Amino acid sequence: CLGPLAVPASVKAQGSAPFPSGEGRIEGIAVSGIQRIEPATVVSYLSVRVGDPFDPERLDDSLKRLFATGLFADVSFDRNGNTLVIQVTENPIINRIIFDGNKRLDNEELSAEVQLRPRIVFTRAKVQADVQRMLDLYQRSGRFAAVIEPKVVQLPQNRVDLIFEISEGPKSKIRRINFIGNTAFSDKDLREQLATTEARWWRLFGSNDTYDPDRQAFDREQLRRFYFNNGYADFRVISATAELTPDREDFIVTFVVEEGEIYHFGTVDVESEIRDIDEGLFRVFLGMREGQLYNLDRITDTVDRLTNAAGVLGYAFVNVRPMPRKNRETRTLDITFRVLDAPRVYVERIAVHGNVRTRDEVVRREFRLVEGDAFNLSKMERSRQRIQSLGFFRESEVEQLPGSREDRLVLDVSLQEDATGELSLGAAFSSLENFIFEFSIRERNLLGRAQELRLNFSLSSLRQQIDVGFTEPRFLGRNISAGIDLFQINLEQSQFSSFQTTTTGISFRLGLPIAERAVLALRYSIRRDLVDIGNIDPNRTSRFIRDQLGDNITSLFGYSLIYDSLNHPLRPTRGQRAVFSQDLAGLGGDIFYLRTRLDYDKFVPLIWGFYGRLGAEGGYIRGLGQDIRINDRFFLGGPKVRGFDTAGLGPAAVLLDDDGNPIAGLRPDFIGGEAFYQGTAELFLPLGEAAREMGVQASLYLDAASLFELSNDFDFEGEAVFGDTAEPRVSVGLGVAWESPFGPFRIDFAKILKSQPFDDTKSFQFNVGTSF
Amino acid sequence: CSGSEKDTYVARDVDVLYSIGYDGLQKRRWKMAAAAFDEVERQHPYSVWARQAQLMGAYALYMDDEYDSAILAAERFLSLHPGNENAAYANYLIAVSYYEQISDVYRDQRVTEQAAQALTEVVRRYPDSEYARDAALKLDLVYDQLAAKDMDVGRFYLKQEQYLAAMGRFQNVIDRYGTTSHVPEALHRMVECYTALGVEREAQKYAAVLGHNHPGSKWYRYSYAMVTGEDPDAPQENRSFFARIFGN
Repeated sequence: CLGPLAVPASVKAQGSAPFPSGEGRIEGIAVSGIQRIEPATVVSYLSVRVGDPFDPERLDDSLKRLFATGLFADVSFDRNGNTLVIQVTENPIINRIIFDGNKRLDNEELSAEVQLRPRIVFTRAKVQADVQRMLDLYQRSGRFAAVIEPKVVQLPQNRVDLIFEISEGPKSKIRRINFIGNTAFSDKDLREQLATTEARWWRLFGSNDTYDPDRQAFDREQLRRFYFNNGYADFRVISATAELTPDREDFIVTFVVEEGEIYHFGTVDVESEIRDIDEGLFRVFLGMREGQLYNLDRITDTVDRLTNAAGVLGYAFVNVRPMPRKNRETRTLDITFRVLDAPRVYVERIAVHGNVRTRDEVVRREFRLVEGDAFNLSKMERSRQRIQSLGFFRESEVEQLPGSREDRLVLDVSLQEDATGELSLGAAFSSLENFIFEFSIRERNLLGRAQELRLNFSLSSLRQQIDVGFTEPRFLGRNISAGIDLFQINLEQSQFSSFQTTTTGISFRLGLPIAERAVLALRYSIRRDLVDIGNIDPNRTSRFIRDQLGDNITSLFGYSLIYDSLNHPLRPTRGQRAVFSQDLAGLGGDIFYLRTRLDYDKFVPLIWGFYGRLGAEGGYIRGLGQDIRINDRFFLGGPKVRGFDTAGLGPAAVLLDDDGNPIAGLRPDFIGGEAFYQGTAELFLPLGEAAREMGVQASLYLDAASLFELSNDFDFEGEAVFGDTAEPRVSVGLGVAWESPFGPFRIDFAKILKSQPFDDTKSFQFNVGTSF
Repeated sequence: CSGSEKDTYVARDVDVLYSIGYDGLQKRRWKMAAAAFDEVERQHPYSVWARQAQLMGAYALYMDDEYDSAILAAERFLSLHPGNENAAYANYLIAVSYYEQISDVYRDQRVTEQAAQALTEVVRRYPDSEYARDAALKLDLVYDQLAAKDMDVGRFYLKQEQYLAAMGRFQNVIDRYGTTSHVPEALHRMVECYTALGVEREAQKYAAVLGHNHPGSKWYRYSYAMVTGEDPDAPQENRSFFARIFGN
């Protein structure tokens, strides 16, 4: 029942021959041959009406219009008296589209490419276009031998089933890449510049060894750039050919090149047609000096820098044109960058789109420009960054659209909202006895107002914690964030030490921006701490701890200075963040101390998609006229210092037997320290775009840290402190983190390079739903 | 013929399919109705019912709150039958599908703009149809919404003391949405901006326009007080701490 594609009678719409012309006016229009479409539809596409003359030009136009609708396979005009007779043959309607013979690409992939759909009008042109689209798709995956034959099955009522018969053919690989005419660089050097690679059996992944004409064009450009960046200003690719091998399976690619001579930069200058732009000032943006090797990238960089500099001055659409002049005798290339005249542009309107949940003002207030301002490129870029760092949007783009007048532009912000609610159910395992269940709800963009509400509840045999927090980012309409937290924590520290605490309190926070990227955070909290030994055998507990049991009120005032230039709040790859904090306890209450902390992180992009993090952290707490109580001391360990258990390093009190040796089988009590430092070097691996979109990160790291200092007199009979030393604990390892839909997920494998005898190490850690 | 399409293709008579669709509409089972009408059109494109089924399918999608699909279906009907007597209805269906998606003024207003465009189309092309009256009514509400958006942004800039930016928005309300209920407030806000900038002549001018056109409005009272300096703190609504945090 298959028939080859019927070719509709081709129609020539040239000359006046087919058109009924002559004297008289159209008195009526008759349409014949229609089945589905109404006469009124046909008439509505005509450019002649009843009462018009029989004008060949307008009839010709009408004919073209009718064909352009794609509804008809054939149209002809005739004249019967003063009636215009239009004879049409309708194109069939597609009933079904069927793909046959496809294996490598499934039906969905092909359907996505095909523009025809069931129930729409069949035309030969659309079928051909679709065949071409599918062939392109096959060629992009290296299948140049693919053949697609469209077949139609006529059905009653002028309907057709359209069948694409596909024969995919084998993949064509690149067997060899040859270069002719290169003397300065070897074939191997040049091959490294190309995106295309020769096929090798070990290249199991990737498809760069298949032949792709687009990639070949890209490769030509890569070669040009390579030579142009190495001084060869006359370089040309004479030809680039891809030949099928005699066995017709693979391709051999040959580039014929002409290298030419090495050039150096001659005189370099800036000329400006804009009066505001000081040419002398703009010279600092030049990326090259006289006598340097010719380099095309430096020229494009310079154009970018000059354009940006002009943008900062409010000239949004400035055009910087490099005007090179080659001197063949001296082998130098003079270049003048001409800044072409452009009007100063103003922002007419800032339009926010795509904010289905988030309120307009939440986005608008992050803008460093307001409507009516002179346009400024760097302010726009900064605005985009600020919007992005709200963390509410998966994507945020700011487009410059032309405004109602030539010197006006509309900034169109298009956003794609991300989920801002987090419900995390977590379980954390520890090598000791506990299993932690954690439940938290957090909404970072409450009702689209950018307010944050958080409820945290965690439960284990050792720990019951509930805390609620609320933050308003613009307190009383000002650029100040304010928040309040309520918390109660029952913590049995027996995981690493022999005491338990119950803390109940409330704290207030304020955040005041003091510069574009710097914030001053102030906080006040009042809390009650109950330190108790619980149901632990007092005879197996350090005196140090037993001496500190009790009930205290802490009233604490603190501040932090925060500098943050990270490019993403959750997954940064560039920028730095530094936090300096101090807390003073003793404005009322019965606890007095000063605690100082410093935290620094720097992210640097490296080559090939790698990026690195360097982190340093330190803290020191000092009692004011009293010793530091155990619940205020620092504890250090995993997951911050990977390879160690939670609070698994630092000074440990150990009970001794009569001979002065540690009692076997008794766990030491970690008693915390008054000072700590920690350093991290982390190398993030490039996992590709897909992994980044899924929120997967993998890294190699080195952690070094120590917790020490015990100012209290530790002089208890039958006890000793081990591990109270500033000597670093060091671990290296590999970690994988995933921002899963169920909350953060992390696996770490670590190897301890250096530790102290009583440190609690853990070479494998697995965490769900607990972030740090 | 063989195919790898996993399509549930069951050939049925046109009246069977159409009555399934019609039944679906009666029983408010919109998804089933839409699917049945789709099949009428696919299997029997030349029957007298096909044209009607296209439109009924669009209606079923609209009732199912599948606005995007309803718009697509109605647009397809229009491309095949631009001159059909039901074209007005198809256009109206598109407009209403946009209209129903309009959410509050504090968020994206793209559908509001699309609704304005589609409603204008109905009013302009089918002025005598029964849909034009309703479209015109809805159009007033849509313009009111767009004006409210400009007012909201304008007030935001006013709060930030960005008077020029604020005035741009208020002037836009006066120029483009001159028949909406927001005009008195926009005029008053212009008075407020000019007063803040110290351009009293302009402030008086806008106050006079406000007084002439809306003498009874509270906004005129505020403007009057502001220009004459009698009661300077009247226009700023004083709201409680909690209203500021939780309300707008």
